[in-house]
Amino acid sequence: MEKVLARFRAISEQPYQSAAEWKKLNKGKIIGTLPMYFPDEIIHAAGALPVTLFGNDDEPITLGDKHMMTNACHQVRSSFDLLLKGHYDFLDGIAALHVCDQVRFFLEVWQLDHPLPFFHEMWRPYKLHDTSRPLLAQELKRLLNALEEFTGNKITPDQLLNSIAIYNQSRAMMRQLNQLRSDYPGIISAADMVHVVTSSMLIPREEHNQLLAELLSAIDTTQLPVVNRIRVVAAGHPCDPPEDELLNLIEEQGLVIIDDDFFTGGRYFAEDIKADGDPIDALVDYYMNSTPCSTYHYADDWRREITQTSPYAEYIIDKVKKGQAAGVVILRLMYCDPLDLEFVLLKNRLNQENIPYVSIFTESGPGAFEATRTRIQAFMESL
Amino acid sequence: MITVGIDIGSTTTKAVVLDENGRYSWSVQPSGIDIPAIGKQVIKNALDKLGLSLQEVSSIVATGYGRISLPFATKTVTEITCNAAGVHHVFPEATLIVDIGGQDSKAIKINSQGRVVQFAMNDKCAAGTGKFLEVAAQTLEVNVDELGAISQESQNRIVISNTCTVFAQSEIVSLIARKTAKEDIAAALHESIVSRVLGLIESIDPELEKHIVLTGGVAKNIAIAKLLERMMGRTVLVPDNPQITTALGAAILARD
Amino acid sequence: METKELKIGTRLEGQKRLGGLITDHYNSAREIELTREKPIAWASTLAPSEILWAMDFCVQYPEAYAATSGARHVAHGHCEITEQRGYERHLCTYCRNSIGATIGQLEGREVFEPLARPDFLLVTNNTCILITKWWEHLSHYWKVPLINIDCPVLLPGMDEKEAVQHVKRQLVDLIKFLEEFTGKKLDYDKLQEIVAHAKNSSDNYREMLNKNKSVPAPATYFDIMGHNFPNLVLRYKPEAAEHYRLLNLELDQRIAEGVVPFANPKYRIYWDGLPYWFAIRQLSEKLKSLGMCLITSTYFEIFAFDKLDPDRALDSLAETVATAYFSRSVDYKAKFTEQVFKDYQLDAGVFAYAMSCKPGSITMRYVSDYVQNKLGVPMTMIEGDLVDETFYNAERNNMKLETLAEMLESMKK
Repeated sequence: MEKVLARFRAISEQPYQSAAEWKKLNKGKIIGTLPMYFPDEIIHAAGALPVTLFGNDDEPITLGDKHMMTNACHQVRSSFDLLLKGHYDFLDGIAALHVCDQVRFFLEVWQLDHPLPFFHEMWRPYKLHDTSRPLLAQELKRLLNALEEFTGNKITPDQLLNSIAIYNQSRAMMRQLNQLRSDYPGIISAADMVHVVTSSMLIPREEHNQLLAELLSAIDTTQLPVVNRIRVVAAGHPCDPPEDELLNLIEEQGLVIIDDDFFTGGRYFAEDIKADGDPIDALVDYYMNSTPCSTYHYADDWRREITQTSPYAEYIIDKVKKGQAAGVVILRLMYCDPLDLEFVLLKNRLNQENIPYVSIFTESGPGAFEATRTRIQAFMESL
Repeated sequence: MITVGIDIGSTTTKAVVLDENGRYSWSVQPSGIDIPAIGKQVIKNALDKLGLSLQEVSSIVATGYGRISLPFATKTVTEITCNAAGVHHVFPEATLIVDIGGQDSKAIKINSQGRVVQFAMNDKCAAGTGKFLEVAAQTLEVNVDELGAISQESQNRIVISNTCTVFAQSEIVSLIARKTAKEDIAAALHESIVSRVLGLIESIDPELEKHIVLTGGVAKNIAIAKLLERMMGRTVLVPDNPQITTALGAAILARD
Repeated sequence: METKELKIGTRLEGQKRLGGLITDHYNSAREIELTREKPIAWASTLAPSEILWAMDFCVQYPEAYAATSGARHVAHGHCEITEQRGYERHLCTYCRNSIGATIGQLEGREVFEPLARPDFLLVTNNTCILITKWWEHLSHYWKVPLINIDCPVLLPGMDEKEAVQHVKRQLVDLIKFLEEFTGKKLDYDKLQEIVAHAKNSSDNYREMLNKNKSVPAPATYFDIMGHNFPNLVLRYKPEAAEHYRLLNLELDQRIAEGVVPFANPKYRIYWDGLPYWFAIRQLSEKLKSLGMCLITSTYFEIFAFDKLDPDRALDSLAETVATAYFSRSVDYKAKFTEQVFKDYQLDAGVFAYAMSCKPGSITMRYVSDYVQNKLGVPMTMIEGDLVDETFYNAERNNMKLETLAEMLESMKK
């Protein structure tokens, strides 16, 4: 089990090495996508390798602040920085959808500042409502056509369904692993769970499925460490993967994360896309019914009696109850508009339900690490 | 004609006296609340060096943060325009200036007549300015003037990831606790400051510029100049007295 | 610029009339709040308020309220209330001003001239995405329904017609909801009449903007900026078009008589971004002292509802909302700005970076560089915020404006 985990870690820590190697061997195209929710399955169906672009925590941002917006989130500034420094030059193109204002406006200047042969932006409607379906379908088709043109490969509905099925398989296995972590806490560390999901976004999905299947079969539930830690749900930290150090810190203090809603975690594998019928319809359905996220606008609720202030908060509360967790550790990023606005609603709901939580900003620098340790300890003691 | 340029910065006040033959003298003093008094003093010191008196001065241009507080100045010009004029005088071929001052940093593009074409400033935060080095030197318990020399001894490259001065300070403290060598920390600090400035330079599109002129108090630190050279892959020129280039430019503009 | 025979104008007559229109509007809203004779809606700047007006709503604009709050120096106080509730400081200050004032209103605190309480909220995301989340919060606080009109960014390769159709579908849905909500059917004749008024007002508004193409210009950006209020808030009434008609006559007269807004306007300057609402006077004085006449801004495009057409009321409304200036790509904006420089014969640009406004600010450097490279005009970037003065340093910005003036001076030589 350790060997496979080490493999996942290695891929996550050197994110683009595997992609560069794949390119040499396969002579295929690599399309970088930005978090979150890009329909990688379509890229896969075009015979290209989709690779998610995360910023780099260890590389100081220099060129990335060229347009001055230093109070934008680290993920966006860092990936822009890496783009300008040529770290993404192995890519044949970039594709993204606008999860937030920062991504949208930075993307506009990306292609102008550092053009790549293929650049595609897709509009994902913020309103998850029937009126949004036609445009979303049109946008998915537009993406499909653009990829067909760029790769020279036709994408038939069957091919797309096939790609969807492969990704569904991946998600199913991740859900399986996630359930194991709830049933047998400590079986896999939170950091490793993140590595499993992150690495899937960096190598061909088929390869990852094989590794993940290996991991699952290597898990022996009869030989488990006895864990006497307090069960918690980790929430927040959209887009890029939370740092190992932080997750390990949390789990070393006597807590164990039994579920999370990170992009490189729970929300990535929560839902499957229907793998039969019209694949574009299936993708539209997937988006329309997606896991609640602070980056969506929920219009439908306002036609009924207003009972829910935040579907996202309900989603987290549901996780806490299903997972029989004692509380929530909310990981926050600096300058993340969607999560910062959602947080106010979330904390109010958690307070209403008497669910204990602690909110931690993840980028306060190593000096603040000790402060974080203290806060987690204090939180734990309060549970 | 004899002119005077005086640059009243938030940390130091600099005066340059320029005579009709193009000879100049200068004087530097810490800034303070009584701007006119300090101004008078600094100008007098500079005049004394050339054996001149205030009566012989035909025009005084005041620049810098405190320029509006000098009642006896003939006129005021911003430090950006003065810096450009000063650099052009010292390096007539110069087209790109990087000024790292006590509390802000600037990138200035100038044309062949020494006029400002474009400029960008970082004055929102201390990172990338002399303040950053000052705070760091304090934390390392060394003199800020020694930092450059200390950094040259570094054998191991480490990275200080925090761009914020306040957080960088705590990062330094934890590095010291982990017994990291002072010279390695100093080198990382220099890299950090230059990295910040790179972003500023990048924002005024410097691809075509042949070389860069570095001015400002921090330019006295040769480690910064060398590092900038290495990281930009271009020659970095430093005037003999980089701290007074702006005041010199003011004195030149006083001739107009 | 020639400064022969130029007379210096005093305050525009239209300013008084504008003041009257604004006072009447807010007084009437307060009256309606008490009598509840009409439902009250809050709308975002680019919302299809014509539909609301046609259904007899009294419509208020929180963004206009934010601007006023900034100008009256009360915005920071509103924002502070939100900080106490867990809202982060970097978040849009229009948003935090609005939420802070709302919380204040609901808790019976003293709030500067609060907006009449809403029964319904209508928002569009064609300015930014954050606005939808901001308004979701408003709907929670007020416990009233909210509808968002989703407006795609007009991406290269996207068919604009599809975006318009997408918006139209939502407008039809909006009407259905409002009919249920109010218990009344939408009178399409009334909608047509309102769109006709709005078009008339917009055409006159556009003409007002064009007056500053004259050399010398009869007014500064500061004189004109308040006059976007009628087209934003009152365009459903003939009074709005009439206001502009009279204002245009006044400006025409100034042009004919060679009247300029202040002594010795040397340079014609462009402003990019939203105003720093709390610093209008200070900036106005500073620019005047440097001989810089602020002529125009692409900000005015937001209030130009040019595409309205009463013969195709709903369709033109969908087009207006779907193809608003802020939905355009940065490439489009850069080219548009270049054209503005040419049309208005501008000498330099001031780009007003706003700390908490990402939509306005992230692409500013690109647009500034683009136009500078194309036209060889000097630019400067100043920093501040829309309404929160703690992000503003007058002295730093003054220095940059002075440098710009010095750059312009040296270009003359």
